[in-house]
Amino acid sequence: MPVSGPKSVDIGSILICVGALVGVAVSIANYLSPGSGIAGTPGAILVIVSTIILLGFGLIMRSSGGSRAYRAFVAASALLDIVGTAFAAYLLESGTLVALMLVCLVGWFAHLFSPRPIPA
Amino acid sequence: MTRTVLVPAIVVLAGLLPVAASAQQTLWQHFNGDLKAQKFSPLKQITPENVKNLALAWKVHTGDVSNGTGIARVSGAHVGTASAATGKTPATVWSATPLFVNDTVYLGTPFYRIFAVEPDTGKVKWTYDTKAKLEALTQPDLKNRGVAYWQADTIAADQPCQRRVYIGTMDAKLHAVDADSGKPCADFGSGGVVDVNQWNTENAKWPLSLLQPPTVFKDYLFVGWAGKDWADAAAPPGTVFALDARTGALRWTFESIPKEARPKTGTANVWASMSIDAERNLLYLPVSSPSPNFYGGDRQHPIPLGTSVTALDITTGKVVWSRQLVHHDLWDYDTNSAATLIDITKDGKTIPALVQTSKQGFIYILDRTNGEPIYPIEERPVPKSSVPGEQSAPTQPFVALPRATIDPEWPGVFKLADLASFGYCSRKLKELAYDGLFTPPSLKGSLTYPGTIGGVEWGGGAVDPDKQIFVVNSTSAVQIYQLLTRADYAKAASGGLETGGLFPMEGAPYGINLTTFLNPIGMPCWNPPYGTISAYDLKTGERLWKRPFGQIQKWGFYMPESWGTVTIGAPALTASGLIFIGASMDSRVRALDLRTGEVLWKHLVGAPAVAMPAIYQYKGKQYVVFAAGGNSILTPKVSDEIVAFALPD
Repeated sequence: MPVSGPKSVDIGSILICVGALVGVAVSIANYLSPGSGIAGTPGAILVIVSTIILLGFGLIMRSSGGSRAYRAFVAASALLDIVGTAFAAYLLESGTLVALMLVCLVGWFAHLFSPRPIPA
Repeated sequence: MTRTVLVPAIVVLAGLLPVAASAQQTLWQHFNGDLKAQKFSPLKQITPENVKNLALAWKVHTGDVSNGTGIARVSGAHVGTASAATGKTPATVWSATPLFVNDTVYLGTPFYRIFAVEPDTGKVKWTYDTKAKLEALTQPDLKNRGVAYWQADTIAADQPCQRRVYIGTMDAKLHAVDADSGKPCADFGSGGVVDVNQWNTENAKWPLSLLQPPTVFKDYLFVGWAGKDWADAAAPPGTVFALDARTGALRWTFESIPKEARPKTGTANVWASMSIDAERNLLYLPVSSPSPNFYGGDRQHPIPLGTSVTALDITTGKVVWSRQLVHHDLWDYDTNSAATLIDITKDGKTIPALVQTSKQGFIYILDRTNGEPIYPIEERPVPKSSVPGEQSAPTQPFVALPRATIDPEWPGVFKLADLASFGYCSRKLKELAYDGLFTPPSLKGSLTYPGTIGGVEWGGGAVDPDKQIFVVNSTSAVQIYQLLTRADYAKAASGGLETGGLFPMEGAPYGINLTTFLNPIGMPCWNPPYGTISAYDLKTGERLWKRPFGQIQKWGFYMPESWGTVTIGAPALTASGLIFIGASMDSRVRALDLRTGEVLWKHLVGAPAVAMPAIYQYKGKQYVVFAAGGNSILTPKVSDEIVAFALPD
């Protein structure tokens, strides 16, 4: 008989999703705003794309489906995305985006240590 | 006059004089701030302590901008007439120093219009359109370095054109307009226009482009010009014209090239700004190199005034003294900025000095009365040319003190660029000739350091006349000069950009392939920093500090500050100990601490501010104004922005 407990909330993936979503908005604003210093640049496009992908990873991490290997792959890809976006944001001198990636990184670690549903 | 009246009168006058002098000095009346080209303001409202609070006061978009493919996308409201930029309009390079005089900020634009702007609000008072054709006749881009201002000694009431603003055009027209109304001055030339090209009679394939505003002193306009670089061996000789400021009539001319040498050469022109010692009635010219720039086999006749700093008598135009800075120039090392005039205290004596910067990075400090060095200049042996027909100079002048703005030895291979290109930089280096500074161009290709963009560019340096500290920004760029025989040149594609490519030097036995030493993915093959700013104590010749300046931005990514960036533009100083400067490719304007070079404030503007700023005071408030227009040497980014900063109320 499976043991069931109270349903856990994955704060980590929520943080990643929120951080990425705001990151998308900030990146688009940077791309469009002449005052950002990176308006219309390939670098600004790059972080728009990378934050959209990160949002996708966050949503996948929110779901509990898939094999352990698949989940590990998604988590590793998300980490690479976070680190890469943070580095790009640093070079683009977008402090806000760097800070958002730090939030995502905290979320990633929180996700890593969040309780998993016990398989039947 | 009785003694009782005389004494109080003297007291009152003595009290008024400093006030008058102070008011005068809060202007920015000339291209370099003043006629001594000091780029110095005595203002002290903005200080190293409060500069962090500096904020945008006003901003104007002129609408006169092109990125070469149609109008550039710029934000903000445009003023004046609608921009005429089309897909065929060349890109704009805007290097105008704003002038502040007559309670107005005046600027020229690269579409050859004049803007008169209120100094505290940015509201446009009037504009004037020369209606010049927007064609890059002699330059790769549409260029303008601003306007000049003149006013009569005695202002006649209700008479127009007692105060005038002048602007030149690419096709050699000099316009004079009333500074108060913007209406043409009918008594100047023909209907307010002098066609300087009327005096272009030798090797006159191209017009004498008037990109640099005239230098104005008393009732004289001193007019130099820019030609088409590297296109032809024979070019117009480097005549400087002295015109009557009221009528435009020719007062005298100065010729830099002996008549017998002119059939096969030309230029040695003055395309940069000039400086004036009013007390000694001397005009100082930065004379550029003769054509063809990279091969001198057909111009062996001595051209002693080529690549020189030359002093003329203002009244007659006769040469008082001249000092050649490069003999038989083969590198396009034009003397390219106005000499800065300052009295130096050295060994207890006050010496009337002249500070001349150069593309070589040397800072020549001379006695401005006779051209003799204050700090030693040595003739040293230099590499011999291997090109058939060429006879390079056996020696060149080297300045030992002050230290050059860049090291005379090239900076070495940048390992990161070498690694990223799988050893391209190292392999290419082995193919090139290099024997140090003044390695002549060669058929195999010569590594040339510094290249044609310097060193120090046309902005020159700035000086605090009280502290006797000289500040100058400088570029460290490596180029490859390869001469091509006519047959080889014909095989290669023609054309090229200002900073590199193929150039014909028609009439010479060789063309030139001039490239910047980059790896295939566009990284510089030489070690950073690529741009610096330095300060020198003129009393001793010692360098006080040197720092990387600006930041490279590629695809939006900022490179490390320690790399610096190629710099175009110049600093301006204040008595409070601040350096204001744009000049970097990252489109930022900055304030630096004069004592250390530390950046205390920076602000993003629409494009690189490649002109020097104007610093003035109006209604008790100090303003710093930049024209942010861009320059294709740095980045394709262009703008039409005039932007003013001040402390908040």
